[in-house]
Amino acid sequence: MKLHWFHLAPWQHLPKDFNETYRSVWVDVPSHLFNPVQANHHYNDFLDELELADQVGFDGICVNEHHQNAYGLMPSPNLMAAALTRRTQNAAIVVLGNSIALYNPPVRIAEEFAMLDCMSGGRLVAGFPVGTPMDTCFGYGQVPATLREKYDEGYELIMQAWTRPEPFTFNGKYTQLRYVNIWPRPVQQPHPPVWVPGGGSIETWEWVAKRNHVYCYLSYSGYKRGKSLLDGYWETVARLGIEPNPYRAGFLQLVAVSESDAQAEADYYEHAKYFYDNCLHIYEGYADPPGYRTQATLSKGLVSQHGKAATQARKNLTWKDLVEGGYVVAGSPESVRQQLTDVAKTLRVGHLMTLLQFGSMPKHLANKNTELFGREVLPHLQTLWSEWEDHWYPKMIPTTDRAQPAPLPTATNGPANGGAGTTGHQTNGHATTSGAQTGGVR
Amino acid sequence: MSAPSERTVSLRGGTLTARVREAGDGPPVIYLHGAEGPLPSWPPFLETLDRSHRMISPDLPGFGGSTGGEGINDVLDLSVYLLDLLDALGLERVAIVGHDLGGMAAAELAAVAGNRVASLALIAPLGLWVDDDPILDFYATPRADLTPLAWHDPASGTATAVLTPPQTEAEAQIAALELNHGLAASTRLLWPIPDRGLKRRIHRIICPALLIWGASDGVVPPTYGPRWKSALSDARLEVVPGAGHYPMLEQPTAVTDAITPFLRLHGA
Repeated sequence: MKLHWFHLAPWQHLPKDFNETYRSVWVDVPSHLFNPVQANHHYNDFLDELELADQVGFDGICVNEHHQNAYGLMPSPNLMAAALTRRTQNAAIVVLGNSIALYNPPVRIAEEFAMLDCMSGGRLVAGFPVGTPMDTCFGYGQVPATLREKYDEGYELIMQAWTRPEPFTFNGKYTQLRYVNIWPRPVQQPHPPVWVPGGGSIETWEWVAKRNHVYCYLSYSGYKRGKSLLDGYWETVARLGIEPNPYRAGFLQLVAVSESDAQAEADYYEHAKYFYDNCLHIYEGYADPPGYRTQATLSKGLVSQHGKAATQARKNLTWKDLVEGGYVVAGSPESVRQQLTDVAKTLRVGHLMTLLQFGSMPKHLANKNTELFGREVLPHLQTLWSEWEDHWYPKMIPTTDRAQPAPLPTATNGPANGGAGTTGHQTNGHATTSGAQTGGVR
Repeated sequence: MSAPSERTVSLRGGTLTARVREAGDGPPVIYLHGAEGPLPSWPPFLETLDRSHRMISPDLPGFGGSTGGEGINDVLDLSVYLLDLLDALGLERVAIVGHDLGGMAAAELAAVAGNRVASLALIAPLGLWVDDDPILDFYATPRADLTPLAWHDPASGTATAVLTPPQTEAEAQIAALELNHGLAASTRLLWPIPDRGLKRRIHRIICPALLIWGASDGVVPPTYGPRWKSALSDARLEVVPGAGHYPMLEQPTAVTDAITPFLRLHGA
């Protein structure tokens, strides 16, 4: 099994009474609750945490796209991914992903993903979510009834842009381009692996299976509720006569590892509670606009993941509720090993995306969680599904052939190391110029 | 009491079908429904109007019993569809009564095909937009919150008859799916803001228009009435007391008292 470390980048300073005082963490969350100076530190922490995950041996590090909310501070996951290409070495960079219908023209995604693949030496996983209704329909004004058609068209354009060797013309309903000819092009040929996060639309199962991509169920309600969705996917795979390779599926799970089961509660409960009570506090009016989910999905009676019932069910849970309900897999390393083995086998997932930083969890605790998991859980789980070949993991340039960042230059009097007092011009823009001219070399 | 007949009309060589209900004799009048879809029955205001007119009520494409929603991506697509429908019905020139989305559809058609539209009776129409006076985001308003905004008196017999879900759970689920189906189709024309540029075309509307607004409309504010009136070359505004967003259901007599003489004067 491949194990991935997933960051949502939550805002960690919502007031204690947030879910009583404000109606939604998404779409119209008040901007005065955000503090950019604090965010400077948080983004740095988030990148540190993802880099640590690479260091301790995770197979992938994951970022994703959300808009207008305090639960995920990555409107552009590609910016995070770009930053990660420089100081990580081994992990796949899993961008889960870019919401295709939001980009005009969608070749922007083909280009940026190709850039990331080149920058990272072929480590990119290209994620193509439809996107939540809060992000796409409310935040970005997409028409619910045409969102999927626009997504499909954008997907076709991106795949052609990656794979067709000559410039071509694309005459779509939503995008018309006389010349499609992207530079750069991806390292991975014919294209980076495509993973599709789904939130519970039944059409997505068949769409993904037929195109031979990975279906990822990004649930925050844990493996017990995720089972019916994954079962539906595997039934679709069987019906289509496709081999049931577990690496065709991914699943997101909150995980909390500590020295003991009791210590896990002491360490992580308040942060899990913050996540479920505040980060998923979504106004019901934004959860399920007409046309976002198809009639086929609705008539199956599937409950919206962000709807009132699901949102309410996740609030005010005790630690016992969270653990026994499968929302959080928590406990000692031994206990977490066992539980996650069960999760993987029950859901038949080859790509397990762990959420080891969640809610208000501070960096030192996220690092503890990551290090414990990396040392005492990860190696035991990576042997799962070894009888299957993973066709959906990046085909990277071998480490020995891959570009490495040069050590930072040690300037003698340049602005990079302060250079105070050497030129006397640091107070204005000229200091940079003079620094570069006089000493900005090795 | 007249019972409307119902039939399926074939369009574009049979590739599309429209469900059409109609009753009455006289000059033809089209009734176009709003974003929530076709009226479930033939309500009293249509019964009154069909005493003097041939009232024809099609389901818009993608709503109710009409196919073709996937072909509607802008108001021009809708106007062309309505022209195809008029052709299929053999109607050269009609008066149109339109509510909400139906009012927007009627106005858009009159702007591009004025020769086919004799007059417009627009009930709380969508289509114009003022940033400082927004129309309710009814897509993001839970049903329980929407009802008191859309109805002057949600407790009235008329309102409860419309608002009470069907008795059995199975019927209620079908009704909910049907409502969702229509609202989904409406997003093609109304999301995220119910403005597709009518203000750039409204000067083309030269037929007489009657504007009807419920005084307590919490969905499309009555302040839009004067805006429509001043944008149209020949319009009268009637504000109906004791009515919300559905004046033709809440105050059918007041509405037909205004519409009937208007149609008599300006019908096809």
